[in-house]
Amino acid sequence: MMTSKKILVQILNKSGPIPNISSVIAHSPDIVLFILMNNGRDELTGKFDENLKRIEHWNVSNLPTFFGFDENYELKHPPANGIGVEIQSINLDNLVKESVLIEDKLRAISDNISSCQIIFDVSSGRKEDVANFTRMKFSPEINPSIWYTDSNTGESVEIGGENKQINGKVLDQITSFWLEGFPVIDSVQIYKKSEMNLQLVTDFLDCLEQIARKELEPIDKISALESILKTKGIEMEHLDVQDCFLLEDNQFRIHYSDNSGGDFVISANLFSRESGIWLEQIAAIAALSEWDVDRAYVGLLLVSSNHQKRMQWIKQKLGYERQKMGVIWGKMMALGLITNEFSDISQILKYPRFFLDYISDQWMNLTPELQAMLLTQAAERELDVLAEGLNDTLFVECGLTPNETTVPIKTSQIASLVHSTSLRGYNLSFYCHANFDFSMGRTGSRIFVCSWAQLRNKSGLLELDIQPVFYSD
Amino acid sequence: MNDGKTASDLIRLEGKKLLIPVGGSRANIVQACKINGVEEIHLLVTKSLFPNSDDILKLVRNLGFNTALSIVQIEGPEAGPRDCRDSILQGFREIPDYSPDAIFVTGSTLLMVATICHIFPDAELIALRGKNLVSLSDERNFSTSKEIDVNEYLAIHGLSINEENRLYMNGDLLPAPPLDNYNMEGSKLTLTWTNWDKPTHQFNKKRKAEARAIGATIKQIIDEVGIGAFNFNAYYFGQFILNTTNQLIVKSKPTIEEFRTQIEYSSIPNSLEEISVDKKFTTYKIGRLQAVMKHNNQSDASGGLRTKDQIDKHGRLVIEVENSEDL
Repeated sequence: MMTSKKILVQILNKSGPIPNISSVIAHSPDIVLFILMNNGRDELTGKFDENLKRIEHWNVSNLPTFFGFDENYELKHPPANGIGVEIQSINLDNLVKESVLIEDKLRAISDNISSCQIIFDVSSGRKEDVANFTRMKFSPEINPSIWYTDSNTGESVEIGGENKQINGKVLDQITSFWLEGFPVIDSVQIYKKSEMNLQLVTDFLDCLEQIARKELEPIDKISALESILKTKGIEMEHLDVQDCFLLEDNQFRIHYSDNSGGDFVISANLFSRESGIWLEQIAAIAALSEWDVDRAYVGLLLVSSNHQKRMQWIKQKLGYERQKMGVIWGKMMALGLITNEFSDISQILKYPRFFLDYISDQWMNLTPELQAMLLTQAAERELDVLAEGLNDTLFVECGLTPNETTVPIKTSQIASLVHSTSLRGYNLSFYCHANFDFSMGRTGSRIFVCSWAQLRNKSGLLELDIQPVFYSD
Repeated sequence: MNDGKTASDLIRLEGKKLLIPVGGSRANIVQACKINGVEEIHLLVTKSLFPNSDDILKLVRNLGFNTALSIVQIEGPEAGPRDCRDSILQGFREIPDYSPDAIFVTGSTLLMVATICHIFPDAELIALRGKNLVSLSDERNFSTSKEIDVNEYLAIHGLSINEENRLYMNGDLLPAPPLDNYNMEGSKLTLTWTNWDKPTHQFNKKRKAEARAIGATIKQIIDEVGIGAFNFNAYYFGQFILNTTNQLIVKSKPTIEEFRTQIEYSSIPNSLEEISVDKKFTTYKIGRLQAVMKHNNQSDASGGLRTKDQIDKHGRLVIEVENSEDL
């Protein structure tokens, strides 16, 4: 019995692969045909080629290998797997004049084209190409339906018709980062709603807010917090630091005295005025407790998609971090990877450049554990908090001391990340701080300034009018 | 302006009805209003970008255009693709006899463009390529009157620039430092910030703050008017600008072509203004950009300056003394 195939036809996007991949996911075709519009500019041709390669590698679930990561390297935040669709492509100069070439290609990739379901998706490409794409004329047996897919929701609608389909599959933000050329290499912490007791989170944050408002030194606030939590049957168990590369603070495990589960871990450096890890963690659990998100990442590290650039970053950063370089040297020594030339640690700390070049040269021989440690030093971008779920996605930049200078400019870094990942228009960006006396504000339709406590007030934030924040405090 | 085509080669739109979907970038409205003899323009605008349809009419009238204008207000893509699509269909159902002669397909979003192209299959499709309006069916140009003036372009996007070259949006001062340059390049306005401070390897707080302020300003502009309305350049801010802006949107280094357009490339003036001198290099101001020369140990090096036709990693043109040995 003959099976009807579903063929998806799309114009390859120039500025990133996400619109193309979103429609592939939405339609789940058997075959996808990408139209590459010739343009005569090498720079643009390079971008199209790169996008197609990223799509092809995502499709067979080896995008990390394409970006130069070892096949055996176990990524903490890998991109989601591809769907293994058959990918075809065709180069065209002009959609109006060359519809016959598409028709020929469609016939070539299908034994019986008249039995195929053909979908044209118009959610990628230049506007003038899309305009022509909607009006292409073919032989009667080729009768495509025209659809548009929204990358953010996965919702597809038929252009000019009434049909709509939602399959609920959308790219998660981590995969989007990867596809846009920002591999995610590590994070300080991941909080998952499914693993936490939300009542415990709420009780803890209520107490924290109460204590944070008091005029006390940080150490006294921690003691006061411990006491007030005890009255609610909550304990703060002290844990020693585990990782000098990422999380340098000691930690507290927060749990009910009866160990009923759903506990979570935060920095023991609570209320610090110097180190802000605690604020990032509190912002993450505040987002989890009140927003429609199911996971929150703290301290996401994003690296270059180019191996050589990653090595440059490692050399540059480690050159200033002698203690970390010493740790790496010790681990390499234990593995027998240190030659006589580098046996004197004092010389290495004095003249680090040659040793750093050596690390780069030895990369393939390093253990995954060592590679992972070193890659934390290759971060080009950091995202304080990413809280993500089906309905809400929050990008949060944290700062302990909001003021007239920091507030307007602090969100620019996060804004550049949001713009870089093609999800503009839907995500919410926050500058989250620890000053309760500072005004809560909405400086753009999707940009907010608030304390971590105000971050818990979702409806209050969303009802704010767009206006400048006030700096009288 | 029309690729040397004669008047008879040009398509004319006298007495025609034009439909323009409007996105964040509003330059298309000005461009369309400048087409000779268009009888009527319908603007398809989203409620989110233009909650009050009178605002857009006022903006256009303030620029001195008198073409008959009407507005079709719809739910934008942010309402979800189904609501947006249905809202477009409903909007045109309410004008039963409406059928545009031509559709301007360069503005707005793909969903809006695709939908109106589909529901008006006989309308001519017009695209803006550089300064030219082109028919997509036969690639012929349309006759237009004048190019867009910088102030018109700024005004239609709600922006203005004061005498110190600081940018304002809807009357509010934006945080970026003064612009070094702004000019129309094709159909878009290019905004350029240039850091003229001495290059330094040390951490530079001022440069970091300025780069962040530029990033914040660009974000505000993009949030207001969309991603494609302006070209942005931010030169010589080093790594800071890479961390605060998206390199797909903001150019952080000039290209060799920009040097070629700014200077008499074959004969570099000998009296360049110095920006800084250190042990190895001297940095100069050259046009609106920077050049760098490595110090030559030859004490008798003399002669005019020439370019090595290279740009260094900071975006400076590499120059040398004409009779010096290759460095």
